[in-house]
This record gives sequence, C-alpha cells and structure tokens, in this order.
Amino acid sequence: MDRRTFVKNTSIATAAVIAAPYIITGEPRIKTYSNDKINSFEDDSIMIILELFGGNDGLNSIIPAYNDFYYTLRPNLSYPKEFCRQFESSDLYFNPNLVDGVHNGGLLQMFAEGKLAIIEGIGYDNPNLSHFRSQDIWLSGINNSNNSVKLTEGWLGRFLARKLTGYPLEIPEHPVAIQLDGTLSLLLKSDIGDMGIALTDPDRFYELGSNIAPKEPLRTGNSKYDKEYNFVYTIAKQSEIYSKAVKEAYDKGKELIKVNYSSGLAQKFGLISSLIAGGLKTKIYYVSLSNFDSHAQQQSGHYEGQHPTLLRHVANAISEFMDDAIQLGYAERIAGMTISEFGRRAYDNGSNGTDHGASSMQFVFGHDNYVNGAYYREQGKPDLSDLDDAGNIKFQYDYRRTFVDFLQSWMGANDDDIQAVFGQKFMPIGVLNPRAVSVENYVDLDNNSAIKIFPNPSKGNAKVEIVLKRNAIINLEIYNLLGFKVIDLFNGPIEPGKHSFDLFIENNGTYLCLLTIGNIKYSTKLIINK
Amino acid sequence: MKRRDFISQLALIDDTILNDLSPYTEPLNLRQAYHLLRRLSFAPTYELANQLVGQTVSQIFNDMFETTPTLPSAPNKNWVATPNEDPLKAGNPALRFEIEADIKKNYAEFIDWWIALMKDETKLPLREKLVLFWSTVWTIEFTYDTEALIPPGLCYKNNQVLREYSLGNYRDFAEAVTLDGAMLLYQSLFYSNRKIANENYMRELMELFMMGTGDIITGNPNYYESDVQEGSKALTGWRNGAYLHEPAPKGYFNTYFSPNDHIIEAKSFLNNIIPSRTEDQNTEDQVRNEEVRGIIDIILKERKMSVARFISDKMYKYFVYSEPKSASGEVINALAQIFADSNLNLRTLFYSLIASQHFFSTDNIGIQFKTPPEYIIGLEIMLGVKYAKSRQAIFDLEQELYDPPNVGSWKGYRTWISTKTYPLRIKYANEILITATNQTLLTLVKKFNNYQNLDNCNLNLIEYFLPDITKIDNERINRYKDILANNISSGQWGESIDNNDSKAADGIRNLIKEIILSPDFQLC
Repeated sequence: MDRRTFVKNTSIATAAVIAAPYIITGEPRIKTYSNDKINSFEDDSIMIILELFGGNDGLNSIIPAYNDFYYTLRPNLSYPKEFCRQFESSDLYFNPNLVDGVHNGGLLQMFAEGKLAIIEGIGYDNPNLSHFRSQDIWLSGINNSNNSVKLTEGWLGRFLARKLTGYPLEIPEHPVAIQLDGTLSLLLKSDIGDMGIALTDPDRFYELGSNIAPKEPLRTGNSKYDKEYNFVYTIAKQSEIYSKAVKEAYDKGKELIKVNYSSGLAQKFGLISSLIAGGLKTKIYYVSLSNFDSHAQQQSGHYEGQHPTLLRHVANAISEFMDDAIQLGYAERIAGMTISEFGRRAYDNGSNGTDHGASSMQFVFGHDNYVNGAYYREQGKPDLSDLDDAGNIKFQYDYRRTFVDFLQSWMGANDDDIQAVFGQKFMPIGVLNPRAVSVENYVDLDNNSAIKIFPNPSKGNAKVEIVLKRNAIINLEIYNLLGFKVIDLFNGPIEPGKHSFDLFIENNGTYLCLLTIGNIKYSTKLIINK
Repeated sequence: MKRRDFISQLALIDDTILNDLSPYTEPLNLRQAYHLLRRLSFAPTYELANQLVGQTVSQIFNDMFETTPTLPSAPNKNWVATPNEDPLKAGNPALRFEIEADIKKNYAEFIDWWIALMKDETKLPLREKLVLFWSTVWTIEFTYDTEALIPPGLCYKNNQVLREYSLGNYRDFAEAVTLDGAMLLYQSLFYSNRKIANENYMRELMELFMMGTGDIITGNPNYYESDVQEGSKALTGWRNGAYLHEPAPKGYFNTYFSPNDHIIEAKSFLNNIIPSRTEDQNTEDQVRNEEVRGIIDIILKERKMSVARFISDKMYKYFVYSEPKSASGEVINALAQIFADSNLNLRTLFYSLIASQHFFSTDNIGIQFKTPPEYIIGLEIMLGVKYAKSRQAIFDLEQELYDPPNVGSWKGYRTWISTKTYPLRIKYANEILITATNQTLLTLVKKFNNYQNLDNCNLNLIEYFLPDITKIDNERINRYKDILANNISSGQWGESIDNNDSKAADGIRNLIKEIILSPDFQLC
C-alpha cells in the first residue's frame, strides 16, 4: 500500500471506531465487519487446497500400468499391474495405497461415484526443477523462473487482497482463509499483509488469544519500521478476534462431526470439518503435507514405505472428510484440489528413489453435482516415450487453469479478478460447475411453500413443518416485524425427511418464520390472533 | 532527565538510508551498542553494551569475533562419539522404536547443549548468532524424511563445522560441509554409487548453499539440468561411519571414501571437464582435491560474482533487514564486490556490513523480526534469568533447530509472526518474566545510571527492552511511566528502589508485562 492509500484508509476508519473502549487517542484501530459483506462471498462455497510438498510422484500415484515403457523406465520402483487398482476395465490404474484399507474404498470409490477428477499432465512451460522456485511458481500463480524476480504474493493472497478492501483497518469477523499450520505460506500472503491465519489448535489458540491485542494505535507512517510494526499489530489483533470466532465454531462443530478421523493428515481435515459444521464462514482451508521429495528410500519391501504411507494419508484424509461432509450436509459446498510443485523424473534413480521431475497429476474432489468427475488427459498421454531433455514428462495443462476453475466457479471471481491475479487470462479446465443453489435444492416445495405452518392464523400454538430432500445444516427462527428474534426453533444439521417443530407465541401480531440453509433464506408469515 | 535530552543523547548519525557501505568511524553511543548487540548476539545486557560504548566498530571487532574461533567442548555424552544402531535395520518395530526414542533423547540433549551456548553469550567474544545463521543456510533436518533420523552425533559435528568456518573462507566452508556426515545422509550423497549419482545434494549445493538457480541480481541462469546430473557424478563415493556395527574405517561419524562407489568417467560441469581417472588415481585425496574441491572451484571460477551476491544477500537479510526485496542491487553489489575481492573471506564481508554507515542508519533500526531463539533467549539474557523450557518454547515458535520444514530452511521475515506463534510469544515471554524474582528486577534497574530518577529509569527500561525509543510518542512514554511508578511518587522512587520495595519491583514487572504486549517487542 502506498502512503496515500494508507492515509486515506486511516481517515475512514478513525471515524468508525471511536467507540472502542480501550481507545487512548483518535489514531487508527482495527474493526470488524460481517463476512457476508465481502463482495461475491455471500455464497457459502468452501475451497480446500492440499499441498503435497516435495514433489509427488505422479507416475506412482496414477500408474500407467498398461504401458510397458513404465516398467522399462522404472526397474526398481514400478508397481506390477496386478498390484494396481484398476477402474472398471479402463486404463486408469490407482496406486493400491489410494484404495486398499482406505476409508470407504478410498479414491477409486470416489472416482466411481463421480466425486473425484484426475487431471493428468498438470504443470507449466519451461519447468523449474527447484522445489522452492517451483513451489513459488505454483503458489504465486506466476510462471517466472528468473531468480532475480522475487515472488512475494500468493495467487489467493492477491485475490483476497482485492476482496478485503479495507484491510488492515477493517477485517471480516471470521478469517477468510485458514492454513492448518504454524506459519502462513506464500499462497495466502499479499503485499498488504497476511490474507489468512495460521491455526493448529483452536483450544490453545483461544486460551492464549484473549487480552493480547496491543493498546497503542496503528502507526500512520510508511517507514520500514512502521510497516513491520503494523504487521505485528494486525496479527496480534487478528489473534484476539479470531481465537474467539474459531473456538466458538470448533466447540459447536466438534460435537457434530460424524467420522472418526484417522491419525496424521486426516486429523487436520477433521478439524476443518468441525469448523465448517460449527458455522465458521471461512472460504479457504489450506493444508500441506511434506516429505514427498523421494530421492531415496521411496518405498521398501512389499510396496510399503515412505511414498505409499504418504498416499494412504492423502486418500484417507480426502475420503473421510468427504464422507463427513455428506453426512453433515455440507458436501455440496466443498471443492478441493491437490497441488504439488512438480512430479518426479520418469525413470528411477537407482537409490530406490526418483529425482525432481516436471509435470504431474492432480486430484480435484467434491460433490458429484459440481465436480465433473473424470480422468482429464489428452489422448496418448502421459507419453513416456516423449520426455523432455531432462527425462521428464511434458505438461498438457497449465496449472493455473485449475485455479481459474476454482476462482470462477467457487469463489465468484470475474474476468477482471482473473486478469489481476495472474496478469493474464486462462481458460478453466472445466472440472467444476458453479453452484446454482436455491431452497428448492433442499426443500420440498408444497404449494410453492417451503415452510408450512398450521394453524395460521393461530391463537398462540402452532406447528412448523419442513420436508428436506437431503442432509443440510439449517437455521429455523421466528422474528417479529421489528426484526427481533423471538424463537430459535432449530439450529444444526438435520437429516432428509419430514420435520415438525412446535411453537408458542404469547403476543398478538405478525411474525416471520425464517429458514436459512447456507446463504439461502426462505420466509413465511405467521399471524397470532388470540 | 527530560525525554528530549535523553533522545538527543541517543541520536544517530543520520536519518536517511545510505546505500553505500562507507565505514562508520565514530565511537558508538549506547543506542548504537544496543543495536549492534541485538543483531550480532541474542540481546544486549546493559553491562556489555556499556563496554562497547565509546569505541569504534573497528576497535572492537576483533574482541567481538575471534580470528580463530575457540570451539566449545563437546557435551559430555556418550552419543557424541558412539552411534546407535541403524533403526531401519533393527528387524522388528519394537526394537526400532526403542532405538529411535534413544536418538530423539540424544537430539534434545544436543539442542540443549547448543542453546546453553547461546544463553552464555553475555560477554565477548560472540559466535553463536553466526552459527545459528549458518544453520539456516546449510540446513540439516533431523527428521529428514518419514523414515529416518540424522544421528545426533553427526548433528553435533555439523554444528562445530558451522562454528569453525562461520567467518572463514567460503570455499573451504563449502568443501567441509559437502563432506560433513550429517549432510551426506540428509542430502542422499550417502546413496550415490558407481552406477547411480543421486542429484539431491548437487542441486541444493548450487541452488541453496552457493548461488541460486539464477543470479539474484541479473537473473542469468547459473546452471542447467545437465550440470546437476554431471556434477552429481563427481560427488559420488563418500560414506560415513554413522551407525554402530557398520563400516567406519576412519572411526565413527567420520567420512571416508569408498573407491568402488565413485564414478571415474569424465564429467562435464559448467563447461569445464573433470577428466576421467584410472582406478589408481581413484583415491580419497585425489578425488577430494580434484572432484569435490574441483566442483566447488569450478563454481567459483565460473560464477564467482553470483556466489558473492548470493551469500552477501543472505547475510544482509539476516543481519540488516529480512524483507525479500529489501536490499537494493547497489548495496548487494557493493558487498559482493568486497567479498569477491577478498577471495570469499566471510570475515571481510561480515565486517564490511556491520561496520558500515548503512548498518547504523536510523532507517535500519528495529525493523527485524526476532527469530524464536532471539526472542526466547534474548529475553532471558536481558532479564538475567534462565528459563528451563527454552528448547520447547523455541520449537513451539516454529524454529525447530536442526529440523527446518525443508531443505529450503525457514522462510523467515514475517512468517515468524502468525496467529499461531504470536499468542505463544506472549505466553512464553510472560513465563520467562515470572522466573525473574523481585530482587532480579531491582538489581537490573539499579544498573542504570541515575536509576533513582523515575523518568530516567522509565526511559532506560524502554530503551533496553524495545528496539527504537525514538519511535515511541510521549503519550506512551507517560503511560509506561505511570505503570512503572505503581503509585510511588517521583520523589519517593529512588528510595523505594534502594529499599528494595516490593511495590517498586511490581512496578517494574508490570511495565515489562506491558512492553511484552507492544508490537515493537517483536522487533529488534
């Protein structure tokens, strides 16, 4: 932010926050606003990013077991065809560790149900074989290998910075993005500050987060000192605010989740599920799993060891999470993807490992209504007989095309956003369909009414009835015409079928019965006349 | 003393950023001595800062950093000389876990040994901050993949290598770490043999430890994939006696050459040919000289300025300002030229940086994020206390020493402060403060000149615990003074301190508590 913008923001915010009790001077302080007010974020879609850091071996994840060349290139590290898990009678073969012993039949079952897409040949032109530069290229959304160009903003960081226009003086009441980690990665960094929060343990966060915000105001200068001071200030303030919001959602949500999550990576997904079920309005969750850099000891014995273990973690986490999402009724709001800075070399390296490669494969998961579950690849690809000079598989799809799918279909981005985030336009792969949600998706409309109330008018006692078509998290409330809530009828996840709720209202008058599912609201009038 | 007078006494040489590296030749004042110690050690003590006051950097440099570092004695533990069995070859899981538990315990002991050295740095000479810096450059991950652990005996040896070469010649440094046992294991050279050259280390040597994928200023590519592949062949054949019952011809934890595992064909690296060798020439000394040092020498011959810029930039980021785009090309180029002209003498580079006007420019004061060891150990040093859980605290703040998230090290800069680590920083600082008795706090204050004057006492405490008092407005200074006074009148303050009044001690404690909550307490 340049000085002029900062000063401008400052003057806006000063007026708005004078009421804060700890004010010492009229200098700028931070205030919050509702997440629903963020432009295009009214919708309740949620995006999950799972990073496989170190460079996942794509060839040993989705295995070209039909191709003899695979066995030639990998004398020490191939999976015999009979060990792979084939989808029907196709040439799509999963690593057995993505399937066997994994929750609900793992990724093969998700694929069969249309909840999983596989994008083969994801990567970029002029591949960079450095973990760190390539990771920066993936996370920044800028394909620039020139080491003198510093990539300091993530593509999501840039996108979110466009959304949070008043940052840091005005921040949403719930974090827009959460990284399940101790520090925040480039993905969520922007030049105006951190666009997400780092979270590992909601209880501890809450316990430590109260009364830690600085008492002094933000600084208004633009020196290095001022900038770093304000950065710390903002983190401190966010810690205090978000530790409460996160804890509140977590306490509610952890009682609701249905799946008994496995240890390791899946636990982080269990935490995400709790937060979603508990009503946190966070749009983006980011999880990273390391140790994919398998130069040596990639696997041992009977297809066990490092890489197989990691794949099992990935498959369990995704499968358990999506199962939970379905049971809790929020599955339609979810779309997730795996990312990895590169794949491995097509041939193995003789140390029972593989060296850095280029293009790889990517999973996209979600609800079958919105994920176009399929195996995306060009015919004849991956072509193991047509490697690049370094012995790597050539890419087919620019990695940013999937990002555009997510930004446009899931985060409400328009063309200007895409241009601003990536500096150019990319065509989406088409792996996601936008959600066109309405109450009708969830509720049986009988005589055009989602809510039935009888008797209506009533003398005080009445029955409210709804018929749900699918699992959902609902809010059912009665308001008076002044907008004050009179009764909380129900709040939480609910199963399909007919549900009725009894109510009693003391005073005569006209009331509104309001049903909320996600961001959709439906209301019916109720008259009390004694 | 009035605040204005206090500030002017502390005022620095200039208020502008100097992009040149002209030496700062004036004697240091207290503020400059604090700044120097915050950057070159973990935190200042009042005594040590005053020891430096009145002298120029050139006068004190040799006292601060020995020309030949005295290495600390090894921890008095078995694991320093005797390895464990290789847990991966244990045969059954129960035995494997038993061995691994032992290794983890030893690793904690190694880290505690190192942390104790850091805590002891309250007098000259200094060294451990440089060791910490180099451990973020030449990274070693104790838990280096899902399956294996680096033996703590090797971590210890690596740590001593970093200390020995911390201000040495970079060519010798690179050679020493390349053949260091911890690095051989960590970066897979251990697995290279005559048939297969593992590329892992060769790539990181160029990318992370010497020069970057491309020149950091010009952007010109420094090497191609074929250089990684060919260079790897030159580095084949090295082993280390890292495990009990495994070959250790030179003794445990020492690196040795295994001729049958070295690729003897010619290698073409950065447009230079390392000629093929006969089996007769395939000896430890020859291969070490012509291929290990050979590779490093070719890099230095072909890419000397790239190396010089890369290392200068790392040092600048660590000791001046860590913002990724912080240093101008002008500063880095000037530093790099000095470094290159000295034939990559780190002592020359380091001195040129910290003795420069640029280093002391007001613009560069108080803008670094305290790293977890600086934050935890620094507070212990400033208070004069020892905290029993420093290792756990530092790890919890996301710097697991000898176990970075990956070979690319900790990201540093703003990543040290997150919504996870910030609340923990406050918690740990308060825990450390609790370990200070009233007597400790009163003793600390009594070191200040004219401590009996409440204003002066207040300003001294602020100056001591926060990095830049000139940035603090009067309102805050007065608020702090009220907290410190704790309802003792100005007239009574001196007497209260001299009488060791607990009310005065509470005032000091409350002020430090308040300072801990201010954003600039995270900066140095």
